[in-house]
This record gives sequence, structure tokens and C-alpha cells, in this order.
Amino acid sequence: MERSEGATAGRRATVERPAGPEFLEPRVRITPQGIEVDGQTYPLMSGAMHYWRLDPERWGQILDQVKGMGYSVVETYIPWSVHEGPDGAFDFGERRATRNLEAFFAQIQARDMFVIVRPGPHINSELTDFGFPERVLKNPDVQMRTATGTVAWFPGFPRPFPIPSYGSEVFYREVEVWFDAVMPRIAANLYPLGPVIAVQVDNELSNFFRTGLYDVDYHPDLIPHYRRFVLNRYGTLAELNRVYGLHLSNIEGLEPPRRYRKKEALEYHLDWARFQTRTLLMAWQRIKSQLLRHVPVHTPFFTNLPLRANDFPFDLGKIETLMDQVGIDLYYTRRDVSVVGEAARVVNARTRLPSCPEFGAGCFLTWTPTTPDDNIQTALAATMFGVRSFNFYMLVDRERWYGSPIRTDGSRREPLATFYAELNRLFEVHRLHERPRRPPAAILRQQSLDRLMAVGYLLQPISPLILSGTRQRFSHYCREDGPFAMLTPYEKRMEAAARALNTLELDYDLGEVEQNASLLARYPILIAPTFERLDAEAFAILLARARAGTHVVCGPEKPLTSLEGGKPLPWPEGPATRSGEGWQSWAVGQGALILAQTLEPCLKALASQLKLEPLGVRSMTPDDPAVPGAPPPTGAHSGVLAGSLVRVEAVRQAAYQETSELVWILNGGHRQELVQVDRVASLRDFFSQESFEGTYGRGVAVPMEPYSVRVLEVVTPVNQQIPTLQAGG
Amino acid sequence: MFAPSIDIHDVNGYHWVNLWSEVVGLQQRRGKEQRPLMLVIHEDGVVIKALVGGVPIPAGFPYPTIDGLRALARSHNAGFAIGLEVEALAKLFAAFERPMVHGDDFLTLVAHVVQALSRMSDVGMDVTWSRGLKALPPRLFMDQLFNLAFPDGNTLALYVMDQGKVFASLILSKQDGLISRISTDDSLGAEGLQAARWPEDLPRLNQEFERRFGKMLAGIFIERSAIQPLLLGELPLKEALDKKLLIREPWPLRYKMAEWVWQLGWGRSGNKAS
Repeated sequence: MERSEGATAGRRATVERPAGPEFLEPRVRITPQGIEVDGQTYPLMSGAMHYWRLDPERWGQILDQVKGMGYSVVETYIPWSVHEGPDGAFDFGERRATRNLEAFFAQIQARDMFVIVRPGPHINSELTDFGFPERVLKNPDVQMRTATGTVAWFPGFPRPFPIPSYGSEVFYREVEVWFDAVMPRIAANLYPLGPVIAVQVDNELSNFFRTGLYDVDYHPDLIPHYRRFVLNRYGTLAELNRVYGLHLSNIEGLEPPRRYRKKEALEYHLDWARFQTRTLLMAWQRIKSQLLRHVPVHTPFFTNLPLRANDFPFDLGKIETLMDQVGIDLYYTRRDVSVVGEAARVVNARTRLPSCPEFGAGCFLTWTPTTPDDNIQTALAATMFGVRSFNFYMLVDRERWYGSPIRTDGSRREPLATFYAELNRLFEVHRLHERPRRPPAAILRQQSLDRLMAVGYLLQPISPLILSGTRQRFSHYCREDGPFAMLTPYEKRMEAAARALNTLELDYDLGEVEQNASLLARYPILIAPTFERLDAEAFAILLARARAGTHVVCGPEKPLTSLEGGKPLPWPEGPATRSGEGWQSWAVGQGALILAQTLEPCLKALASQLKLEPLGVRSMTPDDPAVPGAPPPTGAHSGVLAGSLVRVEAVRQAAYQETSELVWILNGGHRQELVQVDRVASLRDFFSQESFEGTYGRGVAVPMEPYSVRVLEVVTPVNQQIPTLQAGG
Repeated sequence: MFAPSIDIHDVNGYHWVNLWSEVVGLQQRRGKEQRPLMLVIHEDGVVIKALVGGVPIPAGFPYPTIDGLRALARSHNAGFAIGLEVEALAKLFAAFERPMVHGDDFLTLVAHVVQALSRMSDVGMDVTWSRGLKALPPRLFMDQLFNLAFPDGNTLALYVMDQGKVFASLILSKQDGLISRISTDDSLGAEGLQAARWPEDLPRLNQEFERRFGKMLAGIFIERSAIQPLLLGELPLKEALDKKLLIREPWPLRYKMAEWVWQLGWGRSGNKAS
């Protein structure tokens, strides 16, 4: 063991830092199946428990209860503002037992359990000032700046606070003080020395949800980074001047755009959008490197994104190159089961381990209130569409929270306690963590068009994250002249793709052209909206996928020139090799580039060519135009949101025993549905144990409550049921 | 308004959901037609985006006067219209964020927002409400009014009963001029309201409040079915009290006096005016 002296003068904290042979090789790894500890893989299912908000005398009892529900991993924030006193001295249990982090770790380890830690620096956690010490937030050098030059505020409860800038050098120096104090304690408890198996890098890093392009962050420390970024992009100042139509004599003369102006070069604005994505990546990178001063390089790191964070300015693919795991946090009511399904489709497409680092169990007062039914149905929807790792937030109740499955006194709160235990059993019985959902198709967003949307968004500085939760089409709030004219068709095309796939009963995911290439390679069919002008990099990716064997469906317009610069794109020359109603296909390498004006006939032909079996699950309840079954169509900003366009959706997945399968049904509408499941003779609801019998050859009818999800085990596949000879037959 | 160290404990999720839906759902249950909002965004004097209920309508026409905006809203059956110059919202945000200092509470933020909205035309924003927004009274006056209505060291309780069960509850305590605790009936544990014995159970319940939270300033116990008629003026307060659809226990003199003042003039004239 080495001795490490953390913290600054006046608040020294000498802690053991591990450097022994047990840290030379990684003992813990995050894999696409979950978490691997000493070569054994477990589903990464955990629950949040905030030690400092609970009576230390109860820690053991509560942990026993958590373990009794089948969870061997707890997750906790480690709040900076709680451990750092007003006098600047840190308290890790010396003054108050509730702050004794290492005693908490010891209780976990004593039970052969593990812990995931989230030391921030931002932790939210419904704490006043989101866990930042007052002295840090009050420092003007730390505060984030808006386009108008004012300090940016977060309207937090119980009081608003000035947002710290993740571009501020002073901010990172302060973070270092905190990490010097806390990280040696974490390092000393990394597995196998202690129970810590993963570390989160900050929390919902997103400029505190202010993701408008011309809103924040104009912090002075970031401006030189911006100038370097664009100069690197164009190589020379002369080229930058040419593209931007400027006459700068040196790069210091370049200021970031503070609003869109038609007379300025579009690239000038798109580059600012690129830089916004870059600043977030820089922040993750910087905080991770600060953490790495204290822990081994192979320590599993992960991060979480705020809900609806699946497009600009977030680049999930690039974030995942920095992390072992990236997920999206979800807090919804059951009325939004379809939206939860769509978020799950996003993480299933775009991340290695589809996960929700925070998934609502109970709720906080300043959010749309939830009931246990909401928590249950949304968790099932997430599992249905591929989420294979959950951190239930909060598994253990605390102040400023309500409705968790375990109370602060350690007792169970039903029905949630039983549900979460059963959900664990579902993973265990059917080995769900080893069985990812693999739909045949993915509908792809494009970063270039998402950036264009960010430039054209007209309600700045109202966060696009807020607007995307209003069930309205995002492009309706964007400019529509010039290049912005393709934004509404872009969203409509994705919605049309989802509708067509639903009609054909084909399952799909929601990906992105620029995402992790190996994950994109899993889909035999990729659908990307294209127009006459298309981002050259996006086209190159699609072409490469086609050459590698994927059927890439483009359209409604053939991409002819690049979005930037108008250079010609290498669409295959010559006549199409195949064609059908409203579509033409060009063989490229082992796959094809397909241009489809209308999607359904094209996808039908592809399904036939690839021998894709329809899901065989559909509503038997007749449409009633007077009683809409689904909520109004939602905006494409948070995915395609096709789940909201149809009432009933389904997923079928081979079950663990191979001889059988799991059928998931979702009713996203507000009325009861009777749903027919083909190719089965009898089904059993995994959670309620209700059985549903069918008629030979006709499938099984399953009643579905509004806004609900069922997980059904196929008890008797149709080919195993022998019809009995009727008397007189 | 809220203490930075506010203690939010033992909140019954269902009670919170029910209270929320009762308040949010009130407008929908009034049965009045919900007319959509019209949003008109303009740049250099030309409308570049016009939306009614989130659906675009043709744009590209000159931005009208406020009367023209009103006429436009009427022609599209919109409830009201908001006109925004493209930079209006950024200017509005700057107007209320600029005066904020760390330590300001939520109410201060709201006051700054209202203040900024009262001068909305300065930032390029027009709203076709019939009555313009007025600036809030000074903060000191509001603080004093709040302290007068809800003195430190006191607790307020609100219970909504529905078919013999507790539908929703909310318990607020105040210290040092700020709400310091939010809770629900769950905080009383087994000593909470015995619905089967309501309203006879109230004296015992109030004693329990006093024992746990200190002085009980006011308790409002209301039947769910009476909320809407009461708020809409369809059920007279006296009738609700007589029929025990609304029980106020305790009900301090300061609230009674405020009620008399309301009855004598302000409230009635306000009602008539509206």
C-alpha cells in the first residue's frame, strides 16, 4: 500500500491508496451482459441507498432487506456538500456517524454485497444546490454564462442556484479538492479490498439540462477552446475565413454565435453545435482523468444521461468510448409506457449494455407524481425493449423522496418490494442479461440533421429537453426556410418508418447513423431519412454498411450532394438491380442501397427476402375514431416515438430453455385491448401467473389494461399441442 | 419560501398524486372547451413561424399589431396568442436571471419572472390576455404577509376525504420565516387520521399534530366532491360548512378576520369584476 496525501493544506486527509498486486489485473469488468466479477458474470441490477440520509444503526437491516429482494449491488451518491463543512473541513464520520462512508462500505462488504459509487461532483440527489458547496457556486469564476452574458441559473428546489460551468478552470481545481478528499477512501475500498465495483463520472452532464444551442455555455475559459476547435477543423485561418465568409486576421477575433442570423454562414453555426457536443465530451474526459489520479485505469466507469437525451448535444457513441457503460435515466408514469419503450429502443441500439443508471422507484416531489403502478409498468416497458441493467432509484426511501420499496426503518413497502424481487427473478429464470433483444431493423437519426435542428430551434433558451417532453413535433418549433425545410420531413420520415414496421409486425430499434459501428452492424435493415443534400460522413457510413451486407433504406430523396460544400455523393451509378412499388435497390458489396419513396412495400419485400417472421401479435379491439386509443403523436425529438402512434406493440424473444419463448405485449393506449398472439397455444403471465389458453391454430387472446405491459411465458407452443378428436368427429 | 434545509419526509405517494391530479385536473373537469394557444414568432418584422396548438399554420406575413394578433388568434379559434421576436425569450431570461444572487429562494425567482413579464413588450413579447400582468408587491410586504398568515413554529394541515377514505393529505411546518417541513398523514404512523371515525376523530388528530409538530395553526378537512363546486362558486361556503363537507379545525382568528374582509368587499367586487 502507498500513502497518499489528499486534499489541500488545512484539510489534509491521509488515506491508504491501493497499489498492490490485486490491482495489476482487472477483477471487475462491465460487459454487454452485465458485470463480471472474478470471471463470473452477473446481471447489473442495483438499487440506490443514501447512507447519509439514513440512521447508521439501520444500515445493516436495510442492506439485509435489499439482499433479501435479490439485489447484491447498492448504489450511492457521495455528496460533496454533505462531507465538506462550512469551515472547509471534510467529515467522513469523524463528527457525524451518518457521514462515515467507510463504515457503510464495511457493512456492505460484510454481507458479500457490492456498491457502485457516484462521487459527482454534480449529484443532484434532490439536495439543495445539487450537492455543490455554497462557496463553489458563489465563485463568479465558476459560474456558467449565457449568450446574453448573464449568469445561468437552475430553478432548483428548494432554491435556485447559479450553474457551475464545466469549462471553468477554477471549477476543476475545486473538484480536485473534493476528489483528493473522497477518492482515496473509494480507492481503498475498490474490489477486492472493499465492495466498490464501479464509479460514475459526474451525473446527467448536460449543462444542467440547458441544452439550447444559443443558451449557455459562454464561459470565458471555453472561448479559447472553441477557437482552437474550429481552427483545427479547417486547418488554416484562410480556409476558416473562406467557409465562414469572414476576414479575420487572427483566430482571437472569432466570437461564438449568440443567435442564428441568416446572413452568416450556416457552417459557423453548425460548428458551434459541434463544439457544444465537444464541450460535454471534454468535461467527461476531464473529470474521468481527475478520478484516474486516484484509482486504477481499469476501474469500471459509467455515466448517465438525462431522460430524452438521445440526440443533440449528446453523442452516445463517443461518450461510450470514454466509459464502460452509458445509460439514460427514466422517470415516467404509466401513461408514458410507450415513451419508455422508445427510450429503451434507443439504448438497446446505441449502447453496449442497454441500461438505465437511474430508473424511477418512487419519486421526488418536484416531478410528475408517480404511483407504484407507474414504477411497475414503466420498468416492464424498459425491459421489454431491451434494457438489461437497472439501477432502481431509490430502492431505499429517504427524505425528499416517497414511495420506495424499502422504508427508512428497513421494512418493505408493497407492492413494489415484491415486484422488484420478481423482476430480479425474471432476469434469473430467463437469463435476460445474456439474451439481448435483437430486432431486425433500426431507424436512424443523423447528427447533422439534429445539429441543424438545434440551430433552427426558435424557442431558445427554453431547453429542447423540456419541449421534447410536450408530445409535440420538435421541427414545428424550428425555422423552415432554406436548409431547415428538411427538418419536418426528417421527423415525418422516421415516424413513417416506425408506422410501416408496426404495420408489418416487425420489431425495430432507434439508432443513429454515427453510433458505434459494431452495434450498427447487428441490424440486417437500416432505415435512414435522406434528402438531396446529406452529410458526407453520414453517407459514407451508410455506404460502408451496405457494402458489409446491410440493406440500407434511404429516401424519400436520393442523396446527391453533401450537406456542407455541395460535393457530389457516390450513389451507385447505373440502373437499379431490383425494384418494386415505390422503391429501387442497388446492389452494393454484400448488401444494398435502397431508395424508397414509400416505405411499406419496400420493407415488405425486404422482410420476404430476408425471411423475417412477423411478430404475430395484434389488437383484436376494433378502432373507434371517436375514442382514440393512443395519445396524440409525439415529437420525433426524443426518438421516433412510434410507440405513441400505435396502441399495441409486442416483442417476442426466445426464452432460456430454447424450447419456448417470452412474449411481451404493451398497450400504450388508454382503453382496454384484447390482443391476439399467434403461434402459441397457451401463455402464462410471469408476474400475475394468470393463464391464457387458445384454440388450436388460432392463437391466444390476452386482455390488456390501459397503459400496461405483460410478460408472458409460452407454456405450450402451437406445434406441441395435439388437437383432441371430438366425439362424433 | 422554502428552507434550504427543508425536511420532506413520510410523503404518501398516492396522496401526492391525488392532490396533484385534483389541482391539475380541475380545469379539465370544468367541461369548458380548451382553446389552443397561438404562438407567433417574428424576425425583422416578418412572421417566420406561427403555430396553433403546436401545429404550424402558413407564415411569411408581416407581424401584426397587438389588435391584429388578437384578431389572428380569434380567426384560428385560439384562446390567446403570444407574439415573440426571435430574441425575446433570451432577453426575458436575462431580465430575470440578471438580478438573482445565490441564496435567493424560489419565490424571489418567481418575483423576478413576473417583474420581467410585466415589461414583456420591452423584450419583444406580446400577449393577448385581456388583462396585462402586474408586477408583484414588494418582497418585504409579501414576506410579512406570509409570516402573518403562517407564523413561525406553526403547522398547517390539509386533508381531502373521498368516500370515507383519506384521498390526499399535506402537512406543512414553518420555521425562521420559511417552510421547513413537508409531510403527509404517513408521518403520524398508526396515529394518522382514522377515516372510519372521521370527523369525530379530528380532536385526537389535532392533538397528535401538536404533539409531533408543535402548534397547529389551521386544519382544513374537505370532501373531495366539494372541492370543485366550492372553488367554482357553485357551492356556498356556508352550505359546505353546515353540511360538514368542509371542516376547518382549528381555524384561527386571523383567518376569520381575513374572511370577513373578503366578504365585506374585496372578494365580492373581485368576483363581480371577473
